[in-house]
Amino acid sequence: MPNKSVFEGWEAALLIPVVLLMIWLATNISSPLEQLFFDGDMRKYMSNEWGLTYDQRNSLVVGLIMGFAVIPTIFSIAEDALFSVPQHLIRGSLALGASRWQTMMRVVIPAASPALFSAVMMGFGRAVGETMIVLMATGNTPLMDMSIFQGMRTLAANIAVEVPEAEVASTHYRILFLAALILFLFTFIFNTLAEVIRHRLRKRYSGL
Amino acid sequence: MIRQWFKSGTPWIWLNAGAVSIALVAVFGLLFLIMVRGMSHFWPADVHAFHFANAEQSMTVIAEEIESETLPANTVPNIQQTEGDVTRYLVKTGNRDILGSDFKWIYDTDLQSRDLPEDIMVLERIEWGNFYGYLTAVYENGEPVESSQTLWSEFEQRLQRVSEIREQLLHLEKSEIGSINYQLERLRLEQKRLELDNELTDSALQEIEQQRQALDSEYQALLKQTSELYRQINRDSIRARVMDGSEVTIAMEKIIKHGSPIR
Repeated sequence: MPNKSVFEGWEAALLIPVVLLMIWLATNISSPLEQLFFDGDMRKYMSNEWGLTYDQRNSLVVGLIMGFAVIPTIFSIAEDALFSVPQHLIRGSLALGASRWQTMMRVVIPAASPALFSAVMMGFGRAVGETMIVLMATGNTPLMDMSIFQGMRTLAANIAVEVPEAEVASTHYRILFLAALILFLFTFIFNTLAEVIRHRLRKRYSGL
Repeated sequence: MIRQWFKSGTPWIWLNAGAVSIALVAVFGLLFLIMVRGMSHFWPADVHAFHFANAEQSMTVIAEEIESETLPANTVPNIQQTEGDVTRYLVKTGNRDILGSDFKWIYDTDLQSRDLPEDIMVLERIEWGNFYGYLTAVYENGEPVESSQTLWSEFEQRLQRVSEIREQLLHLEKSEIGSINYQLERLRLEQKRLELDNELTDSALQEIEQQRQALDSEYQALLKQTSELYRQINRDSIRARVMDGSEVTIAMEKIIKHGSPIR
């Protein structure tokens, strides 16, 4: 049994200065590195050497922002799930000599997995259904390709933006309804899949 | 030893802790960023004068500094310098009616000095955004004002008067004329109701018409008052010098408030 660490429970707080230091370091060495490897202008280098165009509002930005947006949803449900794992399971595991990490991975997470999974699905649902954040952060460009440095437009945003301007019963109008149908099918299939997986998880770990 | 450490899972705990602290730093950093950007609305930056000079010409830019960044010189287009680093500032010059834009990038290549001009005047206006410049004269009905006080206190007094008149106007237009409009609308609906119920007799119509005329004459009186106030509010104007040396006239009616110069 290893000695109980003095940091136990405070690891994240202890690492905050380290993270801040890394951020400071990154901002300071980014310019010299850019100068050294990318002729001082990463954006130009990317488009000249790799043929990647860079938009100011791109998918990478949206990814980060959506990450921020879904943190609260996922966090509150997942936290609840982890704390509702019965204490006797955790104590028993620790008493049998498992380390903290082993207890976490083999006992706590499986027991909480149905709820954790639905937390993640709620987060996904939030992200998929989001219109405004994506609309504002992607530049709302209808042309897109697979590059993460380019703007895009989601189906939901496309419908919201174009429906007021589409002539009733025109091709445009019908295309928008098709887009809505695809969006619905996507969400439907996704949610059904999630529900099936959640049920299987629950059946498997309900014996704990 | 190290294998034991790995087996116990401690590294993974630290990895998780790292992820949590990155998330915390990111969230609080974002909050801090939003706060800083938002608060600059209530506590505007100091107005600086940037003095530029090179072999051919010299010029001065008067502006609030919004942000600055340092870039390697060879990546910045449209400057002569090619070696070393260049610092560029995003500054808010205001004066959109004169310069065509509110913000501007300036480079420190020809920057000689920067200071805080003491008698700079910042005006918040009804149209065209902020004005930055030096007060040179106060006019009344197109004539320069001669007075025993300093120019600045003369200006402040007159601005006070203008804002009082503006409040009166707002009250007249919003509350008094607004309430007349409301009553007129009620009358119209009343008439419509009677019409739909088939109860619109001649006497009822006459009564409504009478009330309407009473309201209308009330409105005419108020209109006279407001046009008198408009005449008063348009009395004063100022002359001010902008950063390139030219002078402009600003009607005081267009000024909402001023940032006081450091005196």
